[in-house]
Amino acid sequence: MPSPDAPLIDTTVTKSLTRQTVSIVLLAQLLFALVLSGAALQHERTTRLRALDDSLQGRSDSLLGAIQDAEDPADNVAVDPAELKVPRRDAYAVYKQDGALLGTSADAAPALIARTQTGFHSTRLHGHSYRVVQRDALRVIDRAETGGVGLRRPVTIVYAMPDGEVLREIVHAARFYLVAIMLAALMTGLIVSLLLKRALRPISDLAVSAEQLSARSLQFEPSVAVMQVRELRPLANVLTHAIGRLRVAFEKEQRFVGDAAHELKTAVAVVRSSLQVLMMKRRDTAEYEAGLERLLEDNSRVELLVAQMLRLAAVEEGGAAPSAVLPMSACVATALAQMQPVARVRGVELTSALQPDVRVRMSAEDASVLVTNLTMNALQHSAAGSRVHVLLAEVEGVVQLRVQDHGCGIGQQALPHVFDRFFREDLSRSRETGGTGLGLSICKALVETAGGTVAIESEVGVGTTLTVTFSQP
Amino acid sequence: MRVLIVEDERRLAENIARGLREGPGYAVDLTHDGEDALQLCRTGNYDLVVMDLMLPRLSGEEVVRQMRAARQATPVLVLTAVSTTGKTIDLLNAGADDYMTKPFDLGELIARCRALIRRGKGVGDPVLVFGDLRLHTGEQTVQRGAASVELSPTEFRILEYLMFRPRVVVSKRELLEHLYDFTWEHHSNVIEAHVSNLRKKLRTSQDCADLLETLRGRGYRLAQP
Repeated sequence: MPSPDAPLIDTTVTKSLTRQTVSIVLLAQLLFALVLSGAALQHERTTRLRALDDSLQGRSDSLLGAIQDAEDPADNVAVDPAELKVPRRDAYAVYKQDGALLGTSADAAPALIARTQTGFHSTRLHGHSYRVVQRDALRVIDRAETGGVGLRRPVTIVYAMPDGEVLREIVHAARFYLVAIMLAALMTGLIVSLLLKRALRPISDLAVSAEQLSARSLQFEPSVAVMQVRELRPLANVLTHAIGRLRVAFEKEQRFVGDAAHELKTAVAVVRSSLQVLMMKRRDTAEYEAGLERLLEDNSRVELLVAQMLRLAAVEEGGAAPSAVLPMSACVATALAQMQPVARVRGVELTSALQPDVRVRMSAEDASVLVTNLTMNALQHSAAGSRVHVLLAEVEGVVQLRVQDHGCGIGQQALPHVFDRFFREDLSRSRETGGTGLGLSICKALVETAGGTVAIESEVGVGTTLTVTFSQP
Repeated sequence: MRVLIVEDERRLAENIARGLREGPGYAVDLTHDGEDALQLCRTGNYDLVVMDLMLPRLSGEEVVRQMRAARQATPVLVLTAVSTTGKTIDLLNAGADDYMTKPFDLGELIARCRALIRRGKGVGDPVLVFGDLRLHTGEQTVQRGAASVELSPTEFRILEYLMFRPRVVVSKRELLEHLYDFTWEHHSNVIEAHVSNLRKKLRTSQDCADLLETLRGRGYRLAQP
């Protein structure tokens, strides 16, 4: 068996809201940055390549310009390197249409300047990357000698230049982006976690408020900071209300326990003091007999109190309504017949008007206790010569049991509390009548268990009417 | 001595009253609610108040508070069913002199009542001494020198009251008020008869001095001749 202190759920701290949120933010930021920098790099690359291609085009144009009349009989063209200043690592070649090489740059690697396909392309050689353009061009020569028409000499130009610079620049840019992203992520992480900590502080406040709860002080007051947070407010409200209800119930229980202790201790104190008074000195037989009679009476009060408390506890614990349907009219009639002697002793007229065949879902014993308690209560508060009237009727499925007296009545202030356990409007008078203060509480519990309601109307000096209503037969 | 019992549980009140009447022979008045108790205390004739805490109309604690506010120093013994420390502290701080929790022992209650009355009179020793006269409040015996004096309950109560206030003039009215509860008919000539008997009984021998002095129209006092 696990020790009672062991938590039911594993409460090792494995998750942190702050950490989770920061991770989510950072991840989102990283993804976003990656996509953005990828696009930026792509754009950069395209732009730089275009610039490179433009410059390649320009250089090949210069090369074209450097193709001169070879001044030979066949009116060939030739490349005059002297005419052309090219960067050291550039390489070029000019081909005639039949493929014959017209000229190349100095030390041009054959692989670089080999004819492949027209247009721009990239290639690698000895670990360096080159951008190459191959274009077909037309060189017109001897325009003056041919009357402005000139001789058309088609050539193919291959021009290669290293693009290492561009790549390096792109890598550079990429590195810059990466560092920037890392820095930004770091900053964001810090800021987000700081802000989150501040934003989550109301949760700790809530925990602090909750921590102060104990069986002794069921006070829960969430701080203003908590109530200002939209997400926390419902939780705080639910907690406040739940704990409030708990407090009311708990206080009621505590009051009951306190009252029960008071009543029991007092009842026991009476018995004990009666015994001790009897034993204080030697007495004659008549005195002893009277004393024992008193003791028996005192003891009956203890018995009644204990019995009533146990009954109340049983009814309140009981719960489910019995399924059997009880012939209420007969039950009420029997209970009233048993009360008649009490009524006669008190000089009160006990009358009734009971509709026959009224049925209620209740046990016979509960119904008997209910009627007896209500009637006894009415009789006790009635003056000699007055009347207590009991009425049982069913109207459209609603059963009403009504006990009406013409006694002293109950004050407006006391009226809401008459069903409270151990409540007495006037302590001394009730004690005189021998009530325990539990009768009406038991009635209420019995009726509510059976699914009914109890209502009380009273006017001081006029009388009291107690109405029990069962809506379901 | 006259004691007021304030207890809404009538049976308990009656038993305490019987105990105090049959035991130390106090005059006892009963009331069942706090307001009445306060009214009765205002008359100021009680040597002790025994009071329940939970009373109708006005709680025992409130009664004590108001008594003390009105400068009434009568000792108060509170009976309570609740015995939490906090409650007892509140009670004593409100002006109560002692408390007992229910159910209590009647013998202990009587002993505490005696002690409180003694303290209320500013006396510590349960044996009251005046000259060669000794009165045991607990055992309820009286001695003059070596000889014991047999007194009736009323004579004992008169002597006890006088010995609590030696050399002070006590009027017949005061004696009546402190020795009889309000169920009795007050007749000063009853007192005169008892005092006369008491005087005779205290003179255990011919050469004994008369300790009880009668001041015509004023009352009595214990005085050395």
